Amino acid sequence: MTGQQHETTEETGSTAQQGSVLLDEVTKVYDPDGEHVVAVDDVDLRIDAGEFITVLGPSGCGKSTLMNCIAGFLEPTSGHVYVDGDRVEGPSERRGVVFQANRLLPWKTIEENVNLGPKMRGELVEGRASELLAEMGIEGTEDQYPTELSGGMQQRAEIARLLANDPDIMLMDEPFSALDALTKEIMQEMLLEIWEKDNRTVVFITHDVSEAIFLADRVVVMSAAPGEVKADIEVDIPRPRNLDVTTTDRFKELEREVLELIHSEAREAMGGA
Amino acid sequence: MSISDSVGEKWLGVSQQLPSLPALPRPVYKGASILLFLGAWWLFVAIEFLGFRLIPTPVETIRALVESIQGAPLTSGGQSLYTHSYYTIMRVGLGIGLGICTAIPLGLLIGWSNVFDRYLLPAFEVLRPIPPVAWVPIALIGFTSELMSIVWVVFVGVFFPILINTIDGVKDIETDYVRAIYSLGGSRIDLFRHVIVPSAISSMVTGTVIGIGIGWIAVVAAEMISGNYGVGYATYQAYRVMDTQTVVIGIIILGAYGALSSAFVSLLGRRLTPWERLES
Repeated sequence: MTGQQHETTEETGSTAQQGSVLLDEVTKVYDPDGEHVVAVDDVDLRIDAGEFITVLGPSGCGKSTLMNCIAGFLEPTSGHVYVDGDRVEGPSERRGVVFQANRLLPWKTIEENVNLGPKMRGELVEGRASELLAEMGIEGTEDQYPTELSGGMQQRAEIARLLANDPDIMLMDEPFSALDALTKEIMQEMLLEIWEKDNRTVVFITHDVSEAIFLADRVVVMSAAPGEVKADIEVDIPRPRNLDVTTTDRFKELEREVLELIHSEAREAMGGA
Repeated sequence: MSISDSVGEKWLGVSQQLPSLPALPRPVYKGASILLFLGAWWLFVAIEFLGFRLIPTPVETIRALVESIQGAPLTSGGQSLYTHSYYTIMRVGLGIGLGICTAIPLGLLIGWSNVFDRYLLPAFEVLRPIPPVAWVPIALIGFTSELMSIVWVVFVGVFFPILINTIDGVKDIETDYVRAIYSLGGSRIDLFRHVIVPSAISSMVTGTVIGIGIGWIAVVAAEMISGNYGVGYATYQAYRVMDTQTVVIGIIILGAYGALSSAFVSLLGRRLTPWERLES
């Protein structure tokens, strides 16, 4: 399925589908008190339109920084980010973000939150919020405030808020890391369902190996200090996927491969220090 | 489970084994505490502690208070409680109103924009430490009318707590809310409207409650110095003729007004922030 898309975008060379991302030698250095901290070091990465990639790495490896550069929240110290060939110069509604800590606005009801993007852009469609909430399986929460919902329901509402804006790219920063294991699995399957329906580009940040493999077309493995891309692993497990694939041999094999990579990296880092 | 949880649970286990007094409804404790205070007051007057023999007992005070509420002149030959209250409430109300109407917009602007932060805040920082009552003489000279000078003194007392709290509220905003607005296609104005104002409301309310408390202090002090009419003025005039009954009534009335006004603002604040009650 995704293979076909690759071909079409590559053949036509452009706008069959929006949402391709190109990172060109992106480096981000933080310099708080004269300390030179390289968060992201010279990352080249190409993400096709409609592709689902996960960025996997230990905490502090710069994966959130990388995502913030794609979102336009941060400007790379050197190098550039391009989306559909245009240089990223700031945030845009074409690149929706799901935050790690739930970032629904607590003073707005769920419906007001979901409608926020379209409302600010003057494209509010009456009833669209309820549709999306039903699609996310949390119908009837329109008039509730975020704090009245469970963590999983809040995350669903936040995804609905993003979908209401119909972005080309979904940037997700460890969106399920605060959820319990069971809720997390349900959310992963739901996310795949959504993605399979309209094939938006997804960049999903995680430190959970099996989550990374289960969701992605490609797993980009990052290492810490400085944050570099260590490996770019194609996940050749057929779609549509459900959680059953996590018990297959191929899944386990990929899991071992990725874990091995991360562990050798960690050993190196410890030995080096 | 965190350490504090387990300690808490252990303590709960221990405390359940201890004999304890039966818990009474909350109003019973409230009533007992107030009675205790009134008893102490009565006792000090009864034993004529220092100058307390000149002070009315609680019972005498209540009788006089009822008469005042029925419209009797506060001091012999003077104005009624209502006339004095009218002046005080008007002064404090104007001062508080002006304070809210200026401090909240300015606080939002200073918190939101570096330009206002740089050019306005330093001047306010210089004026802020001046106690409001210290403004009385210069206000009397500068504003010539008694109403305006007292309103000014109240305003100075109300203004700064609201301003500072509003600025803090705006500056405390979570980066991710800002990012959420921008990545949903919002503008700077949207950020102001959908994030900055609502998230700063509770700080504004806190500032207003503090400000109103200071406003009442300011109005009473200003009236004592320069008033004609007003509850503060009447209280001080009563002191000068040793009419201690009226002094005590004045204190009670001012306390009641202060309590009522801050209760009103707290209630209003809760109405304005319905989402905050839900956090458990």
